[in-house]
Amino acid sequence: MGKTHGNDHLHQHTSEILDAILGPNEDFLDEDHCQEFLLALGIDPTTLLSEFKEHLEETARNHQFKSGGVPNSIVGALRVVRSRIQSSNSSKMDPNAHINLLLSGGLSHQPTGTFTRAFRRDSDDELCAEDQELLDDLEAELGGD
Amino acid sequence: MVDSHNSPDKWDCLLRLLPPLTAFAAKLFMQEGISARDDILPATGKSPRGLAFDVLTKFIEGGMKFRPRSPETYDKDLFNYLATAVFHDFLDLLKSHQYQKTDVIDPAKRGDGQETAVVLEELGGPGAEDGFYSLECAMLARKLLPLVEDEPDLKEVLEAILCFGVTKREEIAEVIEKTPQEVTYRKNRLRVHLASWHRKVHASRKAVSTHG
Repeated sequence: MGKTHGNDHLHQHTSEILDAILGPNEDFLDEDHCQEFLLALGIDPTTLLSEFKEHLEETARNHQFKSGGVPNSIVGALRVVRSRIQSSNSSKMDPNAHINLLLSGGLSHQPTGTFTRAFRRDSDDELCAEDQELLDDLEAELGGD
Repeated sequence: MVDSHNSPDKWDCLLRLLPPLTAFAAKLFMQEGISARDDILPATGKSPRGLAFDVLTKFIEGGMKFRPRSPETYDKDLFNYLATAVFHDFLDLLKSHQYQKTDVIDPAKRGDGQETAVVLEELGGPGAEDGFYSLECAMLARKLLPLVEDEPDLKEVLEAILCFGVTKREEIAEVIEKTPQEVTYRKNRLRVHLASWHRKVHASRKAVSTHG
C-alpha cells in the first residue's frame, strides 16, 4: 500500500481558509494583478509566450522521435505562437521590474534568446541574421513552415 | 469539419490565458507551501509554468474542444475549465511516486502514526484558546502573521479570517469595518506579499541545495 501524503489531513480543513486568504482564482483574469503576482513570484509574464513556444517545440521533438511525425495541432499551435511572438512588442515590459528580477536571479531560467535580444538592443521582431538563422534551422528541423 | 486552429479569437483567448493559468498553478504551489509544515513543495520536477504549459498543450492536442456557457463568458469559462485540469494534474503530482519518495517528516507523528506529546504541547500554545477560530487557523496564523507584522492593514484582514473564521469578502469587511472593495484591495496586496515570501523561501532553498 502506498504512503499517504503527510499533509492530507490539513488540506481539507485549510483549503477554505486559504482560499479566503489568497482570494478567488478568477482574480488572475485581471491582467494587472496577475502580472504583479507573477513578478512577485519571480516569473516574468512577458516571456511566458516564448517559453510556451519552447515547450511546444519540445513536444514536437518528442512526437517526432516517438512516431516520426508531428501532429497538425502542434504544428498549427507553433505557427500561431511564433507569429504572436514576432508581432509582440517587448518594450511593453516594465524595465524596473525586469531589472529587479534580473538582479535577484528571478529570471535565471529565461530563454537565452531574450537576453540575446536585450543585449543587442533589438526588439522581438528585429532578430539579427545569426538569431534568425538559428530559428530557421530549428523550424526546418521541426518541419514547420 | 471546423478547423479550430483557423479561429484566431480562440487562439487569442487561449494565449491570453497563459499568465492567469501560470499564476493559478503558482498559487497551488504556494498554497501547498503554506499549509504544509515545510515552506516549499519537495522536489517534484514540475514548475508552475510546466504544469500550465502541459495542460494547454494537451488542450491543443485534443483539438481545443470546449463549449462555453455563452460567448460573453468564453474567457472566464475556458480559464475555469483549464484551471480545473491544472488542479487535477497538481493533485496527481502530489500523489505521484516521485513526490511520495520524498518523505515529509511530520514531527507531529511517530512512526506508528501516534501524535507525540511534545508536539501536542507545542500546538497547545497558539490554539483555539488563544482566539483563533480552529487549530488549523492557529497553525496558519503561526506561519502567516509574522510575515505581515509590518503591514497592519494586511494583518487585520488575516486576523479577521483566522480568528473569526470568516471567508466571504462581505463578512471580512464587516469584521474589519471596511468596504468589500477595500477587502479586495487588501487581499490582492496580501497575495502579492505572500508570493514574495514564497519566492524568497524557494530561492533560499535552491541556494542551499546548490551550495550545501
